Amino acid sequence: MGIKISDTLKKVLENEQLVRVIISNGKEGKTHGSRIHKMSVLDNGNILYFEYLESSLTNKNLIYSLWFDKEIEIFAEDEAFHDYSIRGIPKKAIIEGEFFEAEYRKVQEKFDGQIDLSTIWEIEVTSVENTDLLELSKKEQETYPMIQHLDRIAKD
Amino acid sequence: MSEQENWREKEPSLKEVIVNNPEVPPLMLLKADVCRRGITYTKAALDLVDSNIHQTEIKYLFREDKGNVPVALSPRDGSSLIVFLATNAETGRDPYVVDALDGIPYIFDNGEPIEEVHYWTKPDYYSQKTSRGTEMWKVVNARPQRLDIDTNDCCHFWDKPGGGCKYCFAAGAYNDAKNLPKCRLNLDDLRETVGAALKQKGRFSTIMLTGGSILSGKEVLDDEVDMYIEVLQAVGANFKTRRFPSQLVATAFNERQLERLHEKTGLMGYTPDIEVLNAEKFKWICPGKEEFVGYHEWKRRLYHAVDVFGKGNVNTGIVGGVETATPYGFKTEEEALRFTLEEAEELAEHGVSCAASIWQASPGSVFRNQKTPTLDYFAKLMHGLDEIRRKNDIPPFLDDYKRCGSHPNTDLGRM
Repeated sequence: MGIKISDTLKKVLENEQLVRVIISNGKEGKTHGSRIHKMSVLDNGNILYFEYLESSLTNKNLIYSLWFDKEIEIFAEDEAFHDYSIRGIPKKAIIEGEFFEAEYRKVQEKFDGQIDLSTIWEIEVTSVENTDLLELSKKEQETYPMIQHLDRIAKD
Repeated sequence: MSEQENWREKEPSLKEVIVNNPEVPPLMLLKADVCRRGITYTKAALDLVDSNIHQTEIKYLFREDKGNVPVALSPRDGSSLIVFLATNAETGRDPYVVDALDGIPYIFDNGEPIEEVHYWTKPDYYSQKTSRGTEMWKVVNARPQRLDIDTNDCCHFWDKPGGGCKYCFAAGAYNDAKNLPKCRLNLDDLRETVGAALKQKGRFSTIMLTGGSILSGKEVLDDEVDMYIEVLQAVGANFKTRRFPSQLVATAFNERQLERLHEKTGLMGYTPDIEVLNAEKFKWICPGKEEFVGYHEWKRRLYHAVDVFGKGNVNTGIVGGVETATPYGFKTEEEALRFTLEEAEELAEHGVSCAASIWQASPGSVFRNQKTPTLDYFAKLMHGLDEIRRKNDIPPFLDDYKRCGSHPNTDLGRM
């Protein structure tokens, strides 16, 4: 059982107008990021990532992660520019069946038959972090006060 | 303790093979082992089968069943487990067991749950009939992403006693098949069935044709080529493009035959199975192929096929492990692996990759009751073949997990 996704984050992840990126690594060791066109969150907290291209490096990397239990990362930014990092492990590659065919028909309609649907990846979430820069910076200064430029704390 | 009872002590276990072959995904090793050892179903597993939802019909050679046993399985990576029902007496090893765990089918070994699986789902056209009244599932078989067209039930290498391939279970069916028509299909039924299948959007990605070798004709194999041309033209009538994703698994045709086939049909991929990668073993194991084509000529025809269909659209099937059959196969797994991979390298340098199935000493074959290799051998064979394909930059899609699903080594091309 993975980590639950909050309703707020679910809305961010499923909003196709926002920037969302999937970052993965594979057999050849090439880290790769690509824009997420469609993603949804299941009731059990798992994420569905829709991959349109069979031959994409992301598709290759996701099967590598599924086979070897390796984490991938999803980056998302909300409308207020708050950033999120979600890590998870692909658990299932859905390539056929009633659900796949229903989603396939939606893709055909949306892209007027010009785009295929390769795989719907089910990803079990292992961690969720808010990676907003201001918050991260504040946390860093509190945790490691040794690591900052002196002029930032110098008297005026 | 009998030989069959203590087989686990004589060869590395799945867990040990996983540790010893860290570059091969554990799920692929399980797939290879399930293919090697076969499966049985418990009653609880069969109770999960719904023949309205799951694919339980099979038409293959003379087998025409419509029962309550799933034709195959898929693990969670979306690939296929095309498995045979086995007993310890047939394979000399315990088969894996499919049982129910929390209402889900699971593969078990020695009482331990190994991996969740699901049963293949039935395509929509399986419940339909053609306008001639033929049940469509008897015309075209389905895999999760593939339409399978089996054109004929007889391989004429068996016309000469002992001429067929020694691992092939069709041997036992030859006498029933030898007088049947060259093509078992009615082309109107075929055209209609493929058309009905294509209406299920998102289901199918390719069409595979295969059948037994037909030696007759003005030139040897001309009649086989003519049959496939007619069949492919009937199939092709359903497409708006000149060519359509398709694969023909057939005999190795000469230049004239192959160019005719390519010119007159929409075929995209070609797989003449060489079966075993060694001239001497080929001659022993596939005497008919040796007599009518020959090992070196088979290879030459493969290379020419790359010129016709393009790199990545031609491969060849091998029966992985059969090169160790007794008494004339390689004596050790090390020797078998070295020679097989050396030969695969030469093929790949000419643009031809290999799709290895897992040899099962099938009842009905000349090699029935033989001992197949260890799982460790298959691990090294599949990894070696994948590395050779990558090194020679041959695209993996012709025979991959969607377009076939029978070959663990081609599954590795996914990553």
